[in-house]
Amino acid sequence: MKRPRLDLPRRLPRYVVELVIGFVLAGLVTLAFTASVSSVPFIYQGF
Amino acid sequence: MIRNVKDVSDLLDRRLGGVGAGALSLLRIVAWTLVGLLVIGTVVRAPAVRPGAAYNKKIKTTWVRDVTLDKNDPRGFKTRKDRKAFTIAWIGPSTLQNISPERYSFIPADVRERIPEVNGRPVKIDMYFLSGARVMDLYAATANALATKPDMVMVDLNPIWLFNDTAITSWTNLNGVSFRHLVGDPASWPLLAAFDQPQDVVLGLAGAKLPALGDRWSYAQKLREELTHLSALDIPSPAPTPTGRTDPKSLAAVAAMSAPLDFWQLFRPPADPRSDRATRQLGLLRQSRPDGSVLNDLVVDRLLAALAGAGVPAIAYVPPVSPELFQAQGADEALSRIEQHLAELAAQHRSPTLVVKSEEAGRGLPPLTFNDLVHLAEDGPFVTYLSDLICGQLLAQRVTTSCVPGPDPRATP
Repeated sequence: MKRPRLDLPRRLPRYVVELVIGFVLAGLVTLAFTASVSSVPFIYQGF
Repeated sequence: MIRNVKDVSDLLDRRLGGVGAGALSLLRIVAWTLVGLLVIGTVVRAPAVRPGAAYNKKIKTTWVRDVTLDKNDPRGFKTRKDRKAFTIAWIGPSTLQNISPERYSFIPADVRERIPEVNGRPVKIDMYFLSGARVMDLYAATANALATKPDMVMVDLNPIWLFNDTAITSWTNLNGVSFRHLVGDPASWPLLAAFDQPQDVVLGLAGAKLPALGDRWSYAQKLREELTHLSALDIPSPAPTPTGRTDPKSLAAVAAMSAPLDFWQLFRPPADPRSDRATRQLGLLRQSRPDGSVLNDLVVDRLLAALAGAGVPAIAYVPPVSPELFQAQGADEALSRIEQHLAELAAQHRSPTLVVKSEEAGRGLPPLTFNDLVHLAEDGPFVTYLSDLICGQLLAQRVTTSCVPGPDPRATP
């Protein structure tokens, strides 16, 4: 039985683009959740 | 020419080699996103966070520390590890404070003065101090505290809010970090369903493993400092503060509201706002519904269940309230109903390691001096009471063979 060829040279650009998209998404996710939380120190005024 | 979505898809397929065209491709993108989050958390380190910095400055000994982070910080708490010390996790709302012009202190710190060591080990108190805590916040803090495996747990149950369903939770930042501790108890699931948003669950779980998400409060603080320089806006003037009795619709009155509860208390006051303080305080107490009909019951039930099953000595107590309250007719009955209902719930969680003092502590003590309804101004006798209670529990549990609290260092000879 003939083994299927990996054909990496043809697929490599796709894998690289997937990596870039994944990392960009990670950056955006981090930034979005960072922006979602208020960092102004809380000062309590009641009891 | 691009005419529809299919044309876009075809273009992307040609230019990017079919990225996102199949399930495997999408899966690889998700995997790279997770790797990216791990890399960001490793490379961009969040600045170190100091819990309770403002409060800890007021505590003389380093053996007692407020471990609570900012009210917006989803990490909730930051504790210290010290295996050699005897660690007491002390959870409570603002009633942990002693407030007077002469002396501001924390009751756990004053207790530590009386019991500096147990079995030769120095006593370390991690104070889960939640100003304005409601009952769900106390449960969340208790779950977080128990996860750190302390040697003993103390919980302060302020009777004003125990069965008052106008405010069940205040520290919603604890939802995420508590989820992973509470989800193991199926009986708590109705509470998780009621209070947690989907993002609390996802971020609570993901934040434990991915610092890029877990440390987002620290990132936001760092980012805010940078962005402030770029902003063309001036730093706004402080919000107007109300002086005396102002029109509730005025800007000053609205600016002073730090929680939705403030709004409701102002527009649907539990007592006539023109009445004397004792009557107004009684109105607050009367908002409680100690008849088993409110969600607070389930919270208290699970809180006591967690303490009973903790396997370490635990004490839940009701702090004293001002004798001024009892001047109002019906105040004693209102408080008694709360105490009785707490005792009924506690009876369902009997455990040799758990002591529940359902009676308001002031009933068995000489007259105490208060700053207001629930905050002590001179905590000496109450500290003696708590110190005796702790020693009694440690002796009963055979944690130690000898425990004698020291005298009140501020007592007049």
